[in-house]
Amino acid sequence: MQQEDHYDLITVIKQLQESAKETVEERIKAEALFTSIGDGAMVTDEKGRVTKVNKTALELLGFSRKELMGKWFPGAVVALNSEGEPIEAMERPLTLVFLSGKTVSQKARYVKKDGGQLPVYITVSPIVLEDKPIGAIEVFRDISREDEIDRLKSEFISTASHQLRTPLSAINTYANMLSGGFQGELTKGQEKYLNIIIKASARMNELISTLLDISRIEAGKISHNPEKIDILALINGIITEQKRMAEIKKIKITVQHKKNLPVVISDPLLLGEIYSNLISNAIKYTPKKGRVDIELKVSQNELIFSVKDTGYGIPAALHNRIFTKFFRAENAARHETTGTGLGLYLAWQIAEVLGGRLWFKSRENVGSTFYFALPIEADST
Amino acid sequence: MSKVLLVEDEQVLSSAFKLVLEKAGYKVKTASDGMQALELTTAFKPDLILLDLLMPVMDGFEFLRKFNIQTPKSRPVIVVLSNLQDDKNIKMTKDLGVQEYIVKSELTPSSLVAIVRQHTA
Repeated sequence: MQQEDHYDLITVIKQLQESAKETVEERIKAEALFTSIGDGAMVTDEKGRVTKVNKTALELLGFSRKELMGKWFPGAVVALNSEGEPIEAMERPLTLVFLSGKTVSQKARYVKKDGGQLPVYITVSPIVLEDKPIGAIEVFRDISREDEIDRLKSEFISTASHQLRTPLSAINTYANMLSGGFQGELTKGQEKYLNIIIKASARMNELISTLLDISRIEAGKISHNPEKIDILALINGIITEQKRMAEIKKIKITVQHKKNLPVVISDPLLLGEIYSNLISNAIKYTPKKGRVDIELKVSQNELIFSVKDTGYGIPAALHNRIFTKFFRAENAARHETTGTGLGLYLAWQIAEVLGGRLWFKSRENVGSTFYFALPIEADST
Repeated sequence: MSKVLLVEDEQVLSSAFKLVLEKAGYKVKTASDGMQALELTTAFKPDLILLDLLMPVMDGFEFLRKFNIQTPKSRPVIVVLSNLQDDKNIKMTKDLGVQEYIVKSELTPSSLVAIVRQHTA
C-alpha cells in the first residue's frame, strides 16, 4: 500500500467516525426533543403499533411504557366522542392518517388507565420515507381547561338566553295582543309604534337564537341529522319567508338551476340556515330596485349554491374579516343598521359541520356573490 | 269545547295565554307548577297540556315523569312552551312523551291558537 493511499484511508475512517458521532448525537438530540415535548407524543409503525412514547403521554394516560409499547394504539387506549360513545377504530385519527396519507386532527376524550377521561386535541401525521408510509406520529394536548371554560361559557349563554327571553315573551305576547285588538281598535299611530316594538322584539329573539346556535356549534354540541333533501323546495321555502322584505325594497329574486338536480343528503335545518343567511344578507344589503340571483350548479362532487346581488359590496380591505364574529363592514352598517355581525360567522361554522366550502367575490358599490359548495355523492344525479 | 291545561309560573304570561285561548273558544285552567298541574289533570281531564319547564315546587321534567306513571292510558297531548332551547332538553322532553317543543318568546297569540287547534282537532 502506498503512503498516499494510507493517508486517504485514515481520512475516510476519520470522516466516517466523525459522521457516526454526529449521527449518534443527532439521534440523542432527536430523542431528547421527543421526550421533552410538553404534550403527549408517540410514534407508531405502519400498522399503528406503538414504537415510541414520551413521558408526558404516559403521565397523562396513566399507562406504563411497557403497557403501550408494541400495542395497536386504538386497541390499547379507548377514545370517546363528545357524546361519550367510543370512537370506532376506523374513525380514529391514526387509522384515518393511514387511509388518507394526510395529517388528521380530532377532539376526543381518552380513557385513562384508572377509567378517568382526558379531553384531548389530537394531531396525527404520517411518517413518510422515500414516498412510503412507515408509520405515524401522534401528538395530543390536554384540553381539560379549555373544555371547562367552554362548558362554563355554554352554560352561561344558555342561562342568560333563557333569562333574556322570559321578559321578551311578555313583551312579544302583549304587544301582539294589543296589535290584535285585545284592548280595542288602535289608531294608525299606535299601530305604527306597536309594529316597531314587535319587530324589535323579533330581532332580539333572533339575536338570542343566533347566540345560542353559535354557543352550541362552538361547543361541538350541534346535532347533525342528515336526510334526503328536496333542495329546490328548501330554497323556495326560504324565499317565501323573505319575500316580504324583498317586496318592500322592490328587489327581484330569481332562481336558476339545471333540470335534474342531484339527491342531496344533508341536515335540512343546518343547510337551510346557511342558505337563509346568504339570501337574507343579499336582500338586506342591496339597495331598492336591485336584483338577487340565486343559482344551483353541480360541479364534480359538489352542489354549488350561489347568490349574487347588486348590493353595496364589501370593500377589498375588509374581505379577510367578513367571516369573523361580530364583524360588520362599515359601508353595509351605514345602510342597514339591524345586522348583528353573527350571521356569516354562524354560516361559516355550519359550513364546517356540513363539510362544505363557503366563499365570496365582492366589489364595493357593484355587489357580492356568495357561494356554498356542499359535497354530494358522485352518482346521486 | 276542548280543554287546555296551561302550566306556567309567570303570572303575566299565564293570564295572557289564558285570555287568548278563551277568546279562541277553549276552556282553560291554569297551574303555576307541576304539582298543581298533576292534581288538575285528574280533576279537569284536559285534551291538551301546555307545559313550561322551569318552575318552582315541581318543574316540567318532574311533572312529565310523574304524569307518565299516573296516566298510562288515554293521555292528553303535551306541548312544551319553554325559553330553554338546547338539544339535550328537547330530546329529554320528547323521550318523556312530549309532542311538540315551542320556544315561548317566539310565540304570538295567533301562533299559540294555531298550535292548540292543530293538537286538539
